[in-house]
Parts: sequence; C-alpha cells; structure tokens
Amino acid sequence: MSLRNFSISKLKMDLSQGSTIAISEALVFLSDVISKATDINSLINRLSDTALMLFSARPASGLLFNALRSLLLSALRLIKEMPDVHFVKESLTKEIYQLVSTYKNALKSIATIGVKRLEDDDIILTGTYSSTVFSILKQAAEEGKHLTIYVTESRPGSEGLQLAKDLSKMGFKVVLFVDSAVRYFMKEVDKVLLGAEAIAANGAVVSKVGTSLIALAAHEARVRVFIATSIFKSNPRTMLGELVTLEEASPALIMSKERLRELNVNVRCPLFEVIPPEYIDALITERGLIAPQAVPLIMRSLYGWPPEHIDLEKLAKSLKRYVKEEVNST
Amino acid sequence: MKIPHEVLKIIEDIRTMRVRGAGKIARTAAKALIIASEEYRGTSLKEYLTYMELIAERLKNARPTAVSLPNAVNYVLSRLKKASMEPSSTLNKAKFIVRESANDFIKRSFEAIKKIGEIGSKRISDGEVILTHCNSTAALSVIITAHHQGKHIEVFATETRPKFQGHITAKILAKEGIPITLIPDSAVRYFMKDIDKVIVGADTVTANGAVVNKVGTSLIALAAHEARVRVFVAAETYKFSPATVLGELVMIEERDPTEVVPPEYLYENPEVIVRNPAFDVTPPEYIDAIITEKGIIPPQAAILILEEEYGWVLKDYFIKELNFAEES
Repeated sequence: MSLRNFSISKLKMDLSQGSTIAISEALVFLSDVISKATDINSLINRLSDTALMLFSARPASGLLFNALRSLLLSALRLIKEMPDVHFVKESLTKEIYQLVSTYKNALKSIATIGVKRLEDDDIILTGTYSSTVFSILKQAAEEGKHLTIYVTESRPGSEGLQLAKDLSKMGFKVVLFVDSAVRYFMKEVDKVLLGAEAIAANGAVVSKVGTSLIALAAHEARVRVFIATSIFKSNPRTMLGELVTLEEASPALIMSKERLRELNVNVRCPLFEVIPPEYIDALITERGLIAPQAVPLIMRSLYGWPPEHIDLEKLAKSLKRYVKEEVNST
Repeated sequence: MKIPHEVLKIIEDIRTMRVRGAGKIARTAAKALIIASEEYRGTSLKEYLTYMELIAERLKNARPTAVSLPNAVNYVLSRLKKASMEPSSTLNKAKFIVRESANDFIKRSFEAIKKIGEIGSKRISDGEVILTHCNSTAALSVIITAHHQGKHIEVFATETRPKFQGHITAKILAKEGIPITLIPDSAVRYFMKDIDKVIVGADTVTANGAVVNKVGTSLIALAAHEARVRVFVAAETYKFSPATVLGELVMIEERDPTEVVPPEYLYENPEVIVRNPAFDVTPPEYIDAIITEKGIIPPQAAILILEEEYGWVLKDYFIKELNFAEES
C-alpha cells in the first residue's frame, strides 16, 4: 500500500480499483497523518478532522464509514485508558493495519464461497471494477473454470476497459460492450456478479451507477444476480432510517472541457445508485451466502441492536470534548 | 454502366454514418436515386432499369437495420417498374418518374416529421420532464413543437455511447431554449423517477409492434415500465417494415469495435472481444404508443399501418409466392 497515489479527489471520483483498495489506501493515509502528531491534542484533532474529510469525500462507502467509526470509538476508549500520545497513536496505527488485513482476508473468504456458484461454461456479466468480484473470478481462474465474462464499459469512468484487460490476462474469454447494450446481451448471460459500495438495512445495495439497470434487465430475463461484498460494507445508519448520500461527479468524467464549453448544457454525472433487494438473489459475504433481506441480522452482530454510535461528527465532537475537558485539565 | 462517383460517395457516407438517422438516410437514398438517374448516359430503357436496380441494391445494402432505407428505395423503384411496364414507356418518361417519386418521398418525409410534431405535442403537458435517447428528428419534432406551443418542458438526454449522438440532441434543444441535462447512459434508472415521459425515435417498427432503435432504447423502456413512466415512439410510416409481416427478422447491425475503444486498446488487448451492436429491440409491451404522421397507434396495431402503406407489396407476395389466389 503506497501513499504516493493517494489523493482526496481520487478517493472521491476514481473507481478504477474498487472500493476495498481505495478505502484501504485512505486508511493508510490516515495512519500517516496521525503519525505526525506530537501531543494528544494534535493527535485527536488530526484523527477527527481527517476522518471527517475522508468521509465527506466518499459518503456512500459503507466500508469507510465502518472503519472510521471503529477508529474514533477506539480513540475514545484508548485516551480514557491512558491519554498518552505514543500509546494512542501506536494502538490506532495497529488497528488500521488490522482493518486493512481484515478486508484482505474477507476477499479470500468471499472468493472461496463465491467461486462455488460459478459453473463451467457459464457466461458471467459484470460491470465496473470491484476487487471483491475480481477475487472470486481470480479464484475461478486458478481452479481452471471455463467462464466467459461479459464486461460493461462502465461509464462514467470506463473502468470496464481495465477490468476486461485484467480478466482476459487471467485466461477468460472476455467480451466488452457499452452500458446501453446490457439488455441486448442479457439473454445470453447465466449469472450477474456485481460489487457493492454499501449495503442498507433493507438489503438494498449501493453500487456504481448502471448496476441497478443491469440488475433490472437480469430480473426481467430471470438471470440470477449475486452481489459480492464484505459485511463491513453494511451501513448501520440506514437501520435508523438514514438515506445513503449518493455523490455526483464532475462532468469532466464524461466529456472534455472543450466539448463541455462548446455544448454549454447542464451535465449530471451520478457515481452511485441503489439496487433494490428484490432484484438481488444473494449477497456473497465472508460470513456466507445470505439473502439481502437478512442484512439486519449481520448488522446486529456488528453494531448491536439497536446500532450505537453511528454519527461520525458526534463521535469526533465527543472525542475533542473529552480531550479538552478531561485530559487538558489534569 | 458505371455507378456515378457522387452516388458511391453517398453510399459510403451512409455506411460510415456520416449520414445518420433513419429519416435522413431515407431522404439521402432517394436523392441518390435522382442523381444516379440523371447521370445515366445510355439510351436503352432496359439497360437503364438494370442500372437503377443495381444502384437500388447497393443503396439498400449500405446499412442493414433501418427499414426506412429499403422503403425509400422501393418507393421509387416500384413506381419506376410499374411505369416501365406500360407499352408507351420511354427512357425519358422513366427518368421523370424516378425524379418525381423520389422528390415526392422527400417531401412526404419532411411533412411527416412536422405532422408527428403536431400530433405528438398534444401528449405533452406543461411542466413535464422528458427523457430522450440518441438523436431522433421525429422525437425532437414532438418536443420542439410542444415547446413552441409555450409548454414549459425540461429534457434529459442520454449521451448515447458509443457515438455520442446525445450531444447533438443537447445542442439542438439548447438552441431552442429548452432546459437540457445530459446524462451517461448508465444513469437512466437513477433519473427515471424524475421523468414524466420517454420519447424516442425508431429505425424500424416490426409487424408485431416491436421497435428497433438505437441500442439502449429497450433498457430505457424497461426502466420506464418499471417506474410506470409512459414511453412514446415517434416514427414515420416509412419506418414500418413490410418484410416482417412475412416472418423476416430484422438484422441487428454490429459495428466496428473502434467506435467503442481506441484502436490502441484493441492492439494491446487482442484477446478482448469488443462487440458493438448499434440497435436493440424494444418489445411492444414496454411501448405506450407509436406516434406516426397518420395518427397515434398502440404498437400492437402496427399491422394497420403496414396494410395501409404496404398492402400492395404484401398482396403481391401472397399472390406470387404463396399462390393464395389460386387456392381460393
């Protein structure tokens, strides 16, 4: 994991490597920011401010939300335990690397489970670049399964081009086409396999824009839809009725500045959208295959019932207040 | 007899989509027939007829999917053949027939667009948000006519990969002063809840009312159907395909992959197969109505238009090929 490539705008708009890797990079960036703190005040300020900044760059991401929530909660627990900058810093850094490796391991477990759903000679349709989907397909390649993979171009961003390239290098037959051709090809497809940005309490999945159209066309053609996702992408805020914020990207993602100036029209470029649970046959998670409607069960095990501490801003505020009132005054 | 250079250029322009849009293709083909006819330097009527048939075939083969092309060509050729069968026919008379019928087709085509605008605009109410796909003259005629009637409408246009015809649509509508928002094709379902009506064009309407149009149309119609948004297809009657009554399938053209990815990508990734279908088929159950210059019909009544417009073609076929006349 290198910091050289990290930037907030990349975290926000670049979906070319999948959310798991992007969020892991963001967390490593966070560990770098807190490593420069020299006292407990600056540590907590750096942690809270950077956490909120990262979150605002990618508010739809369940994985990022959960990681930041868990780190802020840990920070609160740690300073209560021992308000020593080195102790808190080291513990948090350790936790960050633990989270990153948890995600990595989840990919492996998901691959082991998901690959069983892919059969020889299947035609699999996928879109965008999901490292979770990729890990399942990689496992399938290693097991020598003969698959044909249909890949959508996946505008805005066009990550499909890189995905098609990587999958063909793994030895699969790969067919690439524009997003609008999904229904044209759906009758040939056996299974749809997609990744997720977040999972809501009702089993709806937030994913790259275009995926709900794919799921709809699959549903119409009675083609099974699988979502490969870590349970850590589940967003507990949705259990209390919050809507997931869906970011829109700048028009630059779909046309050149010159063209934009020439046309002089309004351009909207959403990045994520919601796939309703009724179009999803199953979620493939590291805890096994589950129906999307069973997501509250997973959420209960991760966040308690009802879920607690799910407002990052409040968490950051109470951290700062604690440092100000309890640590500084002693 | 050689095919004139100018006609060859038109055929090439249709093939490479420098001339595009089903209506425009049809009118250009009619014009090409006039040019070919005027350029004919021979003196034999028989040779002229063979020559014109060759040109007609070449034109029809330039693009395989849009039926407006063969319909335009057949419109002229059938009149030419009928006239040349008369004993008094001469080469000059034949040339006159081609010029007259081709010009007649072009005139009717423009009138049809106008009429479709008048009829279709009645279906648009003040304050509505319209979604359109690709760049359809007939669909835009409906939208622009409604705008000229003083209805405040807003339009969402898909960018329409791979060739971005949505940019042309956006430009035309912006020039008319209609608020327009361009979106990627993949965002259609995301925006569908904000849309009141979908209006698209057609390349071909089949006997059962299915509509062949720019790839992505069927996906939009599906998303509209899911959201209970009405879908209108604006189509001139020469976009209805008589051949489909006889069971023929509409061939969906797949175009060059370099329209989708740059040539370097294909060169660097020879294993990746890039497929580029230009059209897809929207089933009639996702279409609320087809707006033609003769009126609004439910898609399932396509056969009515076909009988009215091409009844003679069909009758000829049934008599000649199936010997229905003898049996009865």
